[in-house]
Amino acid sequence: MKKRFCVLLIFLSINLISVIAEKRTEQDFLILPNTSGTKGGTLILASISDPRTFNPLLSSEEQSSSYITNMMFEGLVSINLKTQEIQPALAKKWETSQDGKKWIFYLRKTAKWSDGHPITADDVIFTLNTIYHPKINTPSKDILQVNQSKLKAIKIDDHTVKIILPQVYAPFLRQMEKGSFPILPKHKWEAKVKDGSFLSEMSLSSDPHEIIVSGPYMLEKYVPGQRVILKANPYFYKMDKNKVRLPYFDRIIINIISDYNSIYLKLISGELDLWENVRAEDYSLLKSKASEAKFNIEILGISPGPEMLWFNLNNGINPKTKKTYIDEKKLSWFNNTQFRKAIAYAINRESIIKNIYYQTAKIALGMETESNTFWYNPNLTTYSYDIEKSKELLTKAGFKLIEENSKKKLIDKHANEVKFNLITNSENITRINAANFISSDLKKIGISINVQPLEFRSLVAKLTETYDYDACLLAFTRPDLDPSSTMNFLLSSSGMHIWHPNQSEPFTLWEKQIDDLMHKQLNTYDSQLRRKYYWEVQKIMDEYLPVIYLYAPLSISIYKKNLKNLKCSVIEPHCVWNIEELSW
Amino acid sequence: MIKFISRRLFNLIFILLGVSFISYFLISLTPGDYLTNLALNPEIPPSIIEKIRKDYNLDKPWYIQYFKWLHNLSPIGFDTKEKHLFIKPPDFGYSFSYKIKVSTLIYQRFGNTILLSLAAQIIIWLLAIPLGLLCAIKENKTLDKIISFFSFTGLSFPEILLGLLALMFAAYTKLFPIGGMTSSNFDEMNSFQKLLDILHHLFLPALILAFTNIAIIIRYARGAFINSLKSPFMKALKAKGIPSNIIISRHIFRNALNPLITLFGYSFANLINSSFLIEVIMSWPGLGLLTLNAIFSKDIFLINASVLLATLFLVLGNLIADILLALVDPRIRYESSNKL
Repeated sequence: MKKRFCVLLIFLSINLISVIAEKRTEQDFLILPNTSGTKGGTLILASISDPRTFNPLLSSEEQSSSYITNMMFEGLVSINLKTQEIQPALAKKWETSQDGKKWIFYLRKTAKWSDGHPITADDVIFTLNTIYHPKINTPSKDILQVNQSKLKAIKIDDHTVKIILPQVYAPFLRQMEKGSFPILPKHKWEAKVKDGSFLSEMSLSSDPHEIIVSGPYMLEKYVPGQRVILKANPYFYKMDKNKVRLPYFDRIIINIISDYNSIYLKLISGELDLWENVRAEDYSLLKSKASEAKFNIEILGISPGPEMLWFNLNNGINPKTKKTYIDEKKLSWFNNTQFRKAIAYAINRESIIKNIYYQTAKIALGMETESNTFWYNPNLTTYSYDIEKSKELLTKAGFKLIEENSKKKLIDKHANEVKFNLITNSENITRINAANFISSDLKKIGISINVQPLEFRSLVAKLTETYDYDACLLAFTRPDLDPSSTMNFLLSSSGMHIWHPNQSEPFTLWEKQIDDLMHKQLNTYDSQLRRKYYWEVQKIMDEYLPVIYLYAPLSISIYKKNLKNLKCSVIEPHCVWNIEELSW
Repeated sequence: MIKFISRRLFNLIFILLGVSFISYFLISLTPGDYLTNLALNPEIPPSIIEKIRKDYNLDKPWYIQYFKWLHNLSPIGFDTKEKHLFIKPPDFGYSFSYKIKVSTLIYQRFGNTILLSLAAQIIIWLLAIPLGLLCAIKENKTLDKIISFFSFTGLSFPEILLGLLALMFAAYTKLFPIGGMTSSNFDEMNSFQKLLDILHHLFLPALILAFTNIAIIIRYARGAFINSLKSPFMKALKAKGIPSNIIISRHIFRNALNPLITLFGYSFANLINSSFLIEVIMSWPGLGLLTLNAIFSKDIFLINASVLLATLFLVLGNLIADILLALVDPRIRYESSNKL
């Protein structure tokens, strides 16, 4: 009797201990409290071109590559693209020191690589060292530096890492996500990094079994020119509210379809489940077919990169010709703020939105659009279409509008006729059409412009190397909504400060003010304070108008009606950033 | 014959050298290089771009890059340290864009393009020769005019439009797949099903490629047959009383084949090059798409390898045509002629 009781007691206590242990380890899984779905099934996606690599340190060069590696690798944190919040990923929690320079990340004890090895602090430190390795050229190398100083990572124990910054750096936590800091497995790649051959690993010709991942999906097969097949990672660390291990889909097939028309036909016939980049000209066609083909076509909001029209304000001397890059007289027109404002008032944005974008675009007032709810400054001037105001400003600036042979001509103080070239990229027909509309708008105030579509490479060469252009119409993509992602654009010393790049000293007072404000917002973690600085920067841009912001196209995605848990956002990759939660 | 072939192959080397030289020169005239594309990418800092540029020798002038490429490509290497020649495997270099060896990339897609071109070639020649013969026999009658009309329609129709129409046809009738080479579940099929799947996908692209190129062959075939039909020996054969079908099958054919065979080699090479557009429209994973992307991104090694391959096909196609001609036509024997 006593014996039996002892046995029962021991049996119960073992059960209790194992239940407690399981609860402890289960706690280290990331449980998504609002997610539920059905396990199983296949999702069929499409991509316009092949990926170029499966190596996450190189994939940001091409959108087709990063689309796939974003589903395969994880960072310490992840960014919820819909709410813009930072969420735990491989790190379950983190804390920062009083002075804000030391960060401690606590990794999940149960997180494993797709080959079953545990993910540890060694992997984090290995990844940082790999990124900083002199033979390895990856964009992350410069992104993870503060004022040209590297970060230091110290292992505290197997699942705790301390990272030390040289100074307080606002975007630091955001940079610990999978795009700029994808954690790599040390046990797999240590030898390859040592002998310098790491960058040719995880390439298109690699064996899929060699690509060890921490994300929801791993590579099953790559058929060149045709498709990429991903399969679920059995060791993924996230679970839904019913403790079902994510991801839901067994497989994801990404078909490589080089032609937009094929993609739309496949959508309509049901062979494709989701497409995230519907073009303006195709929206109405797809909308009419959507309900019968069992699709939802969703307008996600204004895309975060508005169309920009800017003038070349570069007054530097070309070392080859010993003269300014563009005509002196043109420089004097462009550098006149009243001139630029007059142009802004003379462009009929509504007409372009109606006739060229078929109403799938919205007016943009500044570099941030309403989609960037937290950082966008709503108190900017509306440069509405007002020809009279435009003429008034031009007269104030010393220009005269004269009639010659029943044609209007604008001349400056020295009787030079105002005309210039507008370059844009030839691949984008919509943009060329918009440029032609702008051209006819400007004729009404006597300015004749010559629209020059250029092949993209030639365009970039002019903007970044030869600086021999007058004005340009283009849009830049925004990979992230945080102001730190605009540093390259706003700092006067940067090569991407597109109207006057690589300045050794800020040429104008307002450019110096922008430089100072952007550096200030970088040095604090207080987002209210940062917003105050950033709103001021937007106000300065609005006041001096180095770039005239026109409109931003709407971001439109189309997906099968019965896809669950979609949280589409205007930032790429729009709908598959939370691929592990998607389910039928 | 052997002498003739070997001389042609030897000339081939010079042709390839010339073509690659011109190709490098022309590409150098365009602004920027592969990395220029990345300059406006907000996620890539300019210092990394400069580093990569140095690593890939893209900051050196084009003739230096050409000689380096040539050195990599040649089976004979020159070691500057030890000052001696050595044999090494030819290396086509790395693709900047795809980050793997160019030879691997081309090898993966090359078979697909050949398959498409071969299928189109078979369709063309199976149709063109009988149709050309028919046209020749019924010269200037209604049938001749109708066949000519259709073949010229094919020639003037823009390929892109035909491709799109084919895609729409496939989508609405569901008889054929909408582009691509294989179905999503290709790996789970057995060999026979795989063959059927590829043929199923191959049909429409090959048909379009054939339709747009068949006109020339029909016209040539027609002309060749008419020439033979009008020649003096025809009258002699008819006078002898030999029935028409034997005249046609035994005599006309062999005599008309002369210009047609010359055309065969040339048209095969032409098909490979003209398949590029169809490949893009119908998502056929061949060299066309690869080369197009390479040109747009200025992926120099890949562009040059594609250019060399296209030239190789052209020359080899012509060589094969000449050899076939010598075999078929006893009047042409290269060894004893003074042409050499």
